[in-house]
Amino acid sequence: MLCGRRKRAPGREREVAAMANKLVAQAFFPIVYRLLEQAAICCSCLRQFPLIDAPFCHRCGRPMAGKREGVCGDCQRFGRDSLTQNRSLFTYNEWGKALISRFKYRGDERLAQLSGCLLSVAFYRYYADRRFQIIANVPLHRLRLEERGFNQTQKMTEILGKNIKVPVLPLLDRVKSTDKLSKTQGKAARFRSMKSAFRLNPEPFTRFQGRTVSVLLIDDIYTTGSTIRSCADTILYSGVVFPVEVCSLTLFR
Amino acid sequence: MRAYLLYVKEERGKAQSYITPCFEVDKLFWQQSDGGTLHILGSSTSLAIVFALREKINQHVRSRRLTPETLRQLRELAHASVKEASVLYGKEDGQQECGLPFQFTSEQAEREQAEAFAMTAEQIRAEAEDLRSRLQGRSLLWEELRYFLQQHAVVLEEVLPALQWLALANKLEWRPGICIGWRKGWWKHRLLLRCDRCGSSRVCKTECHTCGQACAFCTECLTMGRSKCCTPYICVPAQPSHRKATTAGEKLLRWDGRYTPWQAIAAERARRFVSADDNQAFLVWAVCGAGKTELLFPAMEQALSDGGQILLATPRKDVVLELLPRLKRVFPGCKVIAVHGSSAEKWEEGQIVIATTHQVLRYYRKFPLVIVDEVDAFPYHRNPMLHRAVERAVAEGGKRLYLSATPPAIMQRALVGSTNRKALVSATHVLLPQRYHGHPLPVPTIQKIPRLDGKLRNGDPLPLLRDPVALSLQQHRPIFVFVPYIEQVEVALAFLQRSIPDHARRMAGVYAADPERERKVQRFRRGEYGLLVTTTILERGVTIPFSDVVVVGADAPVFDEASLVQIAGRAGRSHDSPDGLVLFLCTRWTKAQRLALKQIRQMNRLARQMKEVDGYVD
Repeated sequence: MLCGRRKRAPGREREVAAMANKLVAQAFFPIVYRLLEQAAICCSCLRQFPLIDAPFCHRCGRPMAGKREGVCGDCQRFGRDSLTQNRSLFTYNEWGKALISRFKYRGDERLAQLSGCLLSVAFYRYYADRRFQIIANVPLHRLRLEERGFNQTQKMTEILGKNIKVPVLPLLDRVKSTDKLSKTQGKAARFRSMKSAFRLNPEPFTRFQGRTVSVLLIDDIYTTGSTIRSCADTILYSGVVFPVEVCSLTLFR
Repeated sequence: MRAYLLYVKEERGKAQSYITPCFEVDKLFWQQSDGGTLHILGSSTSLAIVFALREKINQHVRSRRLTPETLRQLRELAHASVKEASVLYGKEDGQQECGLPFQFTSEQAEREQAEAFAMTAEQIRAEAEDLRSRLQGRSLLWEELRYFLQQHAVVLEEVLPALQWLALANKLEWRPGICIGWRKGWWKHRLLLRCDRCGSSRVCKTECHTCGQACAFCTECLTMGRSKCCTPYICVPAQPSHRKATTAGEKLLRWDGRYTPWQAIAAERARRFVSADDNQAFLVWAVCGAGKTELLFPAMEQALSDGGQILLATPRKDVVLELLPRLKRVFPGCKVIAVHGSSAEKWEEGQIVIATTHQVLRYYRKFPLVIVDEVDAFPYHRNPMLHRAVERAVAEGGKRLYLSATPPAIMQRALVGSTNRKALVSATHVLLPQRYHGHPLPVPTIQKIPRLDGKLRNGDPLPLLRDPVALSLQQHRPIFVFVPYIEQVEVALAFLQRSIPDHARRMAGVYAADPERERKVQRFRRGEYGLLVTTTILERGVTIPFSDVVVVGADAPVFDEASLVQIAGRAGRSHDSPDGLVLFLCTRWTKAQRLALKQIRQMNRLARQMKEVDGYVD
């Protein structure tokens, strides 16, 4: 699908099995194997998956090759955080850029299936032992949505929700139309531009009256974490009275 | 969100329906021209649905008087059709129901934009004429149009009235990117979704947030921008060009090459086709290595001196870049531009436009002469999209000139005739069965090897492959090894390196996405590599003297008749060594191989006859 090679090639099952083994614990092997087997992806793309392996930062999922386990410098500096943890499946390299540019900018919505599949794999890799009550995706501003015609994160999230059987609910609205973040340089500038860009839609919470609610936030790329953290802030500090916990999952970082 | 309004105009008992994005302009326009009464039927944000309704209503309304009763019926018909489309859309989507059906509303008939509108008819008309002179001959999607106008420093939202004015004057067409149609069958009714730009019905259905309803986009021409149900596709035919006949003394062509006698005849034939008025299409069928580009010069000169623009469409960007300096040299007085995906001259005008085939989609009724190079090559091949594009780019009453070494069967039947014995010339084609050096084409040897793929993979001995390759390498003849799939490049390369270790360092493999592709081909040309394993990407256009060719797995479906003939044509390209090795290895015979062999033999036979008769003079 991505590189134009044939999906079915001799020896693909073996490759898929090896990758599934590498990705998850044995208990989830059958699920992940089936997901990868059905995904429109060829052997050679499968082989060049830029996976993020341990050790990574316990908080934000940043790969920390050659350092000791724990929390990375950025997260330590950040101190108290609204985001419990973030995990990402791949590093954002050329392959990822090709995927994102075709899906997001060219508008090839058929890639939603593949991305959703990979997102589900990521879920089983990092969050299989946690329970979430709500999945929410990072929303687009209304004008951007109209211009693009679709929200790539939402499409991915819907597939994830269907795979793991957790409701996807519209938790957030984007109220501030920011410049494209990829054009905003500098971490501080990014955090500033994302500040109060979202608004909480508290209606989905009403059905979980009183219990602790775990929310899984989904985005496509985690760069500095400004978008995700702004979303988490909005969820946590918008006057919701009962305990809420926010984790996030992205495809790339 | 832009909404499109559907209304019926009634005037002296005749009624017709129209679409508009800004109703005020229509009111003005009709007041100016004939002053019929306008009845609004309804509006929708999806251009496709409004477009489909217009067709339907036009059929209905033609022979009727419009009374309040009929208008009510028309509205009912529109709503019923939209409802049916929604149901069919949801049904074909499979099990899941359609979340956002098609919408069409008749309420809020007159919109509130009335007061904001303050332009007089004269202003709009002037703007429209200006716009038309810029846009003529192009067919653009809304996003492309926006980009195009940005280049010319015009803001798109303001030109909407001008665009609509042109549309009403029949000088421009609004169309939806994807057309919707209903097909009634005895078994089930279906919804037809077809891309209006490329003609393909391979569309992907989706819920669109631009129009807020059910939508679809075309997957075939996605690389050229998304063509959707709600995206307007704007086609502006070129004004019929004022044919200025240049003075006879002015020579446009500066070329001092020489033709062989047969080439001269073919070139003259092509020129005569351009100057005469009786045929619309012409085929130059010349075998690989006959010197096709040069044959075109007289025909092009003729077309240029008639005052028209020429479009030269070729399949690949490399060829565009290679042709540009050549044509600039040969036609020094003309403006030659190259148009491809990443070219800076994409939106400019030129007398000779060399374009890749995809870019041809962006022209509309523009060129009196379109030359299509390698009609059988990859993007055209079994792809109606590009033939459609070419037909669209030709001006009203214009001509198409095809060049090919292996024309597809349909074209052969249409232009050459269906007889088995092929005529060398006719009013619609000319056949050049001989290479410029006058020697016959090398005939392929076909060898059947059971379990070829497995043997390659396991590294079993394959003397039928190893020995001829080793011989060529020893004799320092460059050799192409063609494989059907990208994965097999590595396999075949590893096999050959293992079985001929002496020359292992002089071997390389390339495929389309290889980052070092250009460099490897360059090194192969210079002789640093003796052997190149490749997929079909090098099947045409690459000329290397003394080369030999081996096809491993010639029975794979990617190798059809045309591609096998082309591959065989890589061998024996030079004067000194007119014959070369052409070896097809396969596990079984295929129709493609048989036909390729037959075609090569037939060409050689024709060439021999031609020699005996000593020239075919018309």
